Amino acid sequence: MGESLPRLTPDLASAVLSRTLRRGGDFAEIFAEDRSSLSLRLEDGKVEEVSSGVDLGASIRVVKGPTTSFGYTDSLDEVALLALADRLSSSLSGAMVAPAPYVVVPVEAIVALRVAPAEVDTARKAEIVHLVDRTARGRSAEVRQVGAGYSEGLQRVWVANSEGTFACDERTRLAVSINVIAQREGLIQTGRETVARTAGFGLLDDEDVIAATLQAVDKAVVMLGARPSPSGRMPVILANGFGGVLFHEACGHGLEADFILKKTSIWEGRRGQGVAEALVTAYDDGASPGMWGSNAIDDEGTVTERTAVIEEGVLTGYLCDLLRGRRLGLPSTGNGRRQSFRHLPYPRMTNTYFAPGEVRAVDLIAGTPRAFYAKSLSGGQVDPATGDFVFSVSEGYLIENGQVGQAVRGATLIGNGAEVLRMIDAIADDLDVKAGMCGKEGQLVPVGTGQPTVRLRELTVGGTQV
Amino acid sequence: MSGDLIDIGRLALAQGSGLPGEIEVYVQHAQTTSIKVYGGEVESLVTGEPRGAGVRYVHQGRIGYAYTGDVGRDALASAVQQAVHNAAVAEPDVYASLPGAPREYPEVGGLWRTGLLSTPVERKVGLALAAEAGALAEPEVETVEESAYVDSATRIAIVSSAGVEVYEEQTFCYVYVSAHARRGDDVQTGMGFVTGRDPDDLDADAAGREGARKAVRQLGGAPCPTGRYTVVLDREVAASVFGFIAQALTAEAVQKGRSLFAGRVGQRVAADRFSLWDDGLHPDGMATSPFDDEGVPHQKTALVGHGVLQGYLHDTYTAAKEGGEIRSTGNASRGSYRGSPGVSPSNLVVAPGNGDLADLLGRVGTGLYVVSITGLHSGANAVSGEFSVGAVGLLIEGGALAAPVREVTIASDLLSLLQNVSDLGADTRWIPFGGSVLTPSVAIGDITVAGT
Repeated sequence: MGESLPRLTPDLASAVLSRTLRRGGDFAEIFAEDRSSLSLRLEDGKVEEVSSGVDLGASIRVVKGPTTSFGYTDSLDEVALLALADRLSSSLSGAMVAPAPYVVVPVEAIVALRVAPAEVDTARKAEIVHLVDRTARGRSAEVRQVGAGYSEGLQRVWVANSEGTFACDERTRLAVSINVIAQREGLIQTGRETVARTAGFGLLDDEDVIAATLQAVDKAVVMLGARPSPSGRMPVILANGFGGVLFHEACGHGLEADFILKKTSIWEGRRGQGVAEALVTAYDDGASPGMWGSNAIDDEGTVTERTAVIEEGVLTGYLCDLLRGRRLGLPSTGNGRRQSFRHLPYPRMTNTYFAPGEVRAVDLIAGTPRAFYAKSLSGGQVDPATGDFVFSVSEGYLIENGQVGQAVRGATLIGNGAEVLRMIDAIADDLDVKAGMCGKEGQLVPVGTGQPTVRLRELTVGGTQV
Repeated sequence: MSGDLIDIGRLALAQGSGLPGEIEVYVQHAQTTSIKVYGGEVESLVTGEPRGAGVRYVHQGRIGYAYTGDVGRDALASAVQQAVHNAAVAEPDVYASLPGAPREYPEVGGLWRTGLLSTPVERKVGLALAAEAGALAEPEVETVEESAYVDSATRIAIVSSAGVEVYEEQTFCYVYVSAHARRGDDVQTGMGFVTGRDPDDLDADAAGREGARKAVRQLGGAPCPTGRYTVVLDREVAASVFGFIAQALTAEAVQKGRSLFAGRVGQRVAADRFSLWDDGLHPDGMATSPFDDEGVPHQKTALVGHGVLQGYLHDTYTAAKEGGEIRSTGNASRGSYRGSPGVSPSNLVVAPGNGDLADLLGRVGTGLYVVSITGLHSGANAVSGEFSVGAVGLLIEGGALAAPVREVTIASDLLSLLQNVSDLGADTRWIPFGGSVLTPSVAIGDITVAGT
């Protein structure tokens, strides 16, 4: 829309940081953001709504001792930023501190931006949601409703801090969400899928959208024929892709440094200890091109990396931002993330997954006489203090004599993070990472959750059949 | 202040004068404070003034929406232009329209308390510290993971070319605490909270003690035997369950084929003793205001009366689509200026039964008291009604609370749950999480609990 792109220059950032620290402070940072978003929503076969908008602003935080003061303004205007700096520094009462000279963080684009979404006509984007609708309704006569959403966001960020970091990044995200409702007589079931990319428009193929739509329809239709799930302790096989929610919820959150620091994580004090069998290796990987949780830098200007959190069964790392890392005596792992300039950064996961094993998934299943097979999980929750978790199974089956059999509905998986890691006794070779949104501290950030097919010796399945 | 926001709305409207369609501008300005303390020190102090405007343009049944955080003339003009552009891509729907001005708005008093903005930040920090101290006073409470004071003073104006021009302002604040109790290797968490419209309303110490008590009583929890139980839902759990059910009571869900209550108005959907209504004018509700998010007056709407489905929640669009005598029930709602309105409950109110929790447990005799559930939004299907969620609670034995229970799931379907409501207390409490619900503790028979 505008020809003159607003931005945070190193000079302006430096002036703001100096002002912020004029009455002291251990650390100061300015985070500026310019984000434009577009979304289209289809239901009942019609594009019902097209919405777009711009978020532009900056926040400043200053850390002194144990206290972080944080404020923001919906502007990148020098006067507004200096006024904010004055307001934040007014609560401090020390001697002025001079920010360090900048070392600009070299950022390599990790995305091949073939076509910027803004260059593509909105009508072409409307075709995508119609494609979902046509594909879904064409797949099965039992489809009653199709909801399809297209969303794109271009986020430009600038981060500068008093320790000499100056970094900027440009992030493009595209997502197509698919929500299918199928009905057979009085029974209704839903199927959901998402195609999400950290990429330009050119990387969004119609083929991917069609494939995901067919999966969503098939899931809903299969579940129409599902029987109520049994309850009790049993072996569980988690399919690749969506199954990665297990690691995210049951283990990943507890590895975030803020929980470690407050000793409210089951993993606190356990670095270097064995937490799983040697076949288990797990990563948080914020640098992998195209994955939904990837960025070149995190929201504190730290270059992202692949962090091994479990290596051959041994707990090796925590996920740190600058602040918590420092308090733990650890470097940032590039996990300082925030929803927007209106939010404080926290240690957050990027893309998490188990490293693949060598066995094929079909062989893993064939070698399991009896188990609950969770093909798709729709989400979950965990209490990091206890590690207790719950996952909902949106597509589940019973495995009998090494074969995937009867579909079952209404099941949840319930257990404990520490326990479930020890229960992993087989990992297949079919790693797949899915896109999701993770909520914490009232903030949503895009994450990837993935895994190969994984077998657990035993887990509690909650269903409606006693 | 009202003038400022109305002026921004009028300015935006003026940018679209001469356009063939109708324009609505929603302007929001808030002042927020969020303080977290840890170990007797301030961990973070966050202040902000989120503001912005959302423009809805409707022309020949096509709707376009655009928002901006910059409310200067150029940005507003650009948002209007963008909304018009977006409308051109949307497909026409004959029922799309903006509401006109109502004859009058109901009076709602007491929503704005000047004390919230004039209270010094030190006093707000003091409340968060008092809550933390209240929790730590309890033996076996090891840490308070989080103790926070949060407030907001929010102003909203809606101005439209269809004749709406309204303004309202309200203050809201709360203190919440997440306490961790430890006995040996066993760690349990508990949450306490208090809400109000002025910091003086808040008994922070009580919030701390509530969190501590809830954490300590779960120590030593273990799965209970699998079976069918009468469960008593704690008020927070009841609020989230009924809030979830109410999603299916919106006309939007019904018209889109996403509701298990479709076509059931006038039919029995719940036990006779169960009544539920929506009330956007309740003097104590967090969602109370004279009008909804498209400027239609709030009202009291019966949803379930003595077990019989009375009707659905509507906004202007769903009411027009329904036709006949149906009018908007004032349930247009949006999260912020960034989003166009959809249909959702305002304050939900569950009719109380008799006695306090102890009386209710005494009447139930044997069962499971559920104090928290996890995974409702992923584990419940608002379309099919099936749900299966993780639960934490205490056994009910001899009419009183007994051993703590954890790592179990409870499963049923929403219709069975409503039909199996077997008793309710009169211990109503406003629950502000993920909505605004006034509910007592509720007993429900014949629920599958999966444990050992």
